[in-house]
Amino acid sequence: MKKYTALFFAAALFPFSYAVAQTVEAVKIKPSVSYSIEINEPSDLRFDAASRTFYVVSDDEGCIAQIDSTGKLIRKSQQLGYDLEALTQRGEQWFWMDEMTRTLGIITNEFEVVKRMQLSYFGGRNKAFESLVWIDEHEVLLAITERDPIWVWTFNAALEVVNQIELPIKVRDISGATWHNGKIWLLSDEDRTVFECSYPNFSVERAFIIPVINPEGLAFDSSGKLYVCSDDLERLFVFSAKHFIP
Amino acid sequence: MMPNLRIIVLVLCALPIAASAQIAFTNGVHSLEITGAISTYYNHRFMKPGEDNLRKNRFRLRDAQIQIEGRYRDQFEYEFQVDFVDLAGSSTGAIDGENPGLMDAYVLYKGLSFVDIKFGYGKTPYSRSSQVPFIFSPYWQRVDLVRGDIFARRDVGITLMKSFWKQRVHIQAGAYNGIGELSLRGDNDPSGSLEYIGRIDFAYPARYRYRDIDDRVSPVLMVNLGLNARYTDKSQPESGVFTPGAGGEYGIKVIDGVKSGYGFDVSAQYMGFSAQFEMHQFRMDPRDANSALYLGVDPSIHEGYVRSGGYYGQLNYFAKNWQSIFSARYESLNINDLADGELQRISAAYAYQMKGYDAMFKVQYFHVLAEEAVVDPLRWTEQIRLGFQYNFK
Repeated sequence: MKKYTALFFAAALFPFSYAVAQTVEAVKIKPSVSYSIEINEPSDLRFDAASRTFYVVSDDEGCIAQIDSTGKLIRKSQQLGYDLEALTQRGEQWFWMDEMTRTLGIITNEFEVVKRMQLSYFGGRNKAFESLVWIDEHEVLLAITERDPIWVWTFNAALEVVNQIELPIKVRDISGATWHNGKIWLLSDEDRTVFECSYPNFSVERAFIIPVINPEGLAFDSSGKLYVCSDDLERLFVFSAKHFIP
Repeated sequence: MMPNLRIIVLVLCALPIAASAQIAFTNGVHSLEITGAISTYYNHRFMKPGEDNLRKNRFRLRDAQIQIEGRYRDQFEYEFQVDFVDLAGSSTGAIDGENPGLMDAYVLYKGLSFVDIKFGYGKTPYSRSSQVPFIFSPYWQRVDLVRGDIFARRDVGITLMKSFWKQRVHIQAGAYNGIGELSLRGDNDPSGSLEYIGRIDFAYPARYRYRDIDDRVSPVLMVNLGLNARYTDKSQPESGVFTPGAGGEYGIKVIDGVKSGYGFDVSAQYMGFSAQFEMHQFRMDPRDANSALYLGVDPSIHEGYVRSGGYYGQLNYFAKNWQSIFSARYESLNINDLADGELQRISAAYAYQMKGYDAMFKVQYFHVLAEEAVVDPLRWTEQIRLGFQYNFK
């Protein structure tokens, strides 16, 4: 019997494991096309409706870059930080976040620095703010930490912190977020899942599993197509709008 | 099942799921992070008939580590890691290659566009398995081949490194004292010569981290091929006294003579499944024609050199919804080819993740299939090790 001791331990733990299993049901979707991105290690992605182009941040180059819908580089900013991981847009200004130094910066469309401020957050160096979302309807900026734990900090229009909550979703990490059709959309790198959530209570309404390695940023274009950038592959994946019709 | 094992399983299952978090500080250009790990296991051996010394049936505090990592702008990175358990043990003079007291103390300079330079003490770029941080393993012990008694896992020296093609190709090469962890005592051995080590990794379709478990459930097949080699000539001068303890448990880690080795490894992962295979071969040319490494074998047979080497293969499955890792492996090690036999073992491991790798119950079962009794006689046939690891990271 002694030879089967390890097997006994494993079997004994299964019921306990199953009891805490993931309960979110997710739909598997596939990209229709993908393109190489001409920027190193793209970590977040935004669609600019005015120019019908995308903006990405590069954690390797520490800059913001403008690319077209096929990943071709149009222009890029000077180096702004050392570990840029998040990007969002308010009017003609762009907010960016340096995860390592917890620096929140603002830059214009012309890449002129407007402001930078350091947030006080003592979580892991590589587990800090990886997502930024400006919500016009609510006039708030959300800054979301990657994991351990996943905090959602809410700033008002004057960039004052007005709330801090722990994300009430069972997910291992959040690597990107965006606002689309009155919902907040969250991206998990480790779970390779896109969540459509209500705001402000963050209850999951739909979830989509995507076959993308190391997804770090997501954005919808004006036609409702979802674009996801892969940091490791430096690639832009496009998903049909039909998956996301409300 | 043994009564004491039953009690230990119950206690471990009752451990609370504690929150964990690493702590980082930054002034805007310099960030510093403090992490650590504590792990304890209970070990039980099933002995050969007639063996009545059961001292290995015990609880063991395996890790009590503190790690400080820092970055200054995008120019410097540094790491300092110490294990207080092994530091206490090594104060007696013995250094465990798998668990040295000082684990890392190096600085990485990234200010040059064409190469990064790492200097200080840390893992040498040889063997993929050796590079995988232990806290990401469902096992309680590495395979014997890469535990640090066949070749040095850590040393003081300088490493040049460069990545290409979206980090899919990674090259490392360096020069080191060549006496492993004993370099921390300050001096080289009397030969004064260095060891030279190089490694190259090819990954596809994306960079492949030094991890064994596909915990991200890769949606496409990812593979990595690694090639590495090392060379040193530690032939002692006539007046020299070979550094005591440098040879390790089997007397072959560092030898009085020339030692060269090469190896390769293949890793793959897909949809939670992952596999590793690694092989190494060493040739040792002792300076002394009467070296103990020859085991008294006639020179016409050993022809002036000794070989050592082995391989292992490992299969893993990450069951995400069960927060579980299942793994099994086979290892073969021929410590000295002049001795009859070789060590052959199978192991199975199960890990239950209460909070990822940071709060994880692990159990490992060992079974000895064959042994190289002349150079490494074993008193046991089976072993089970179960415990809990907690990382504040």
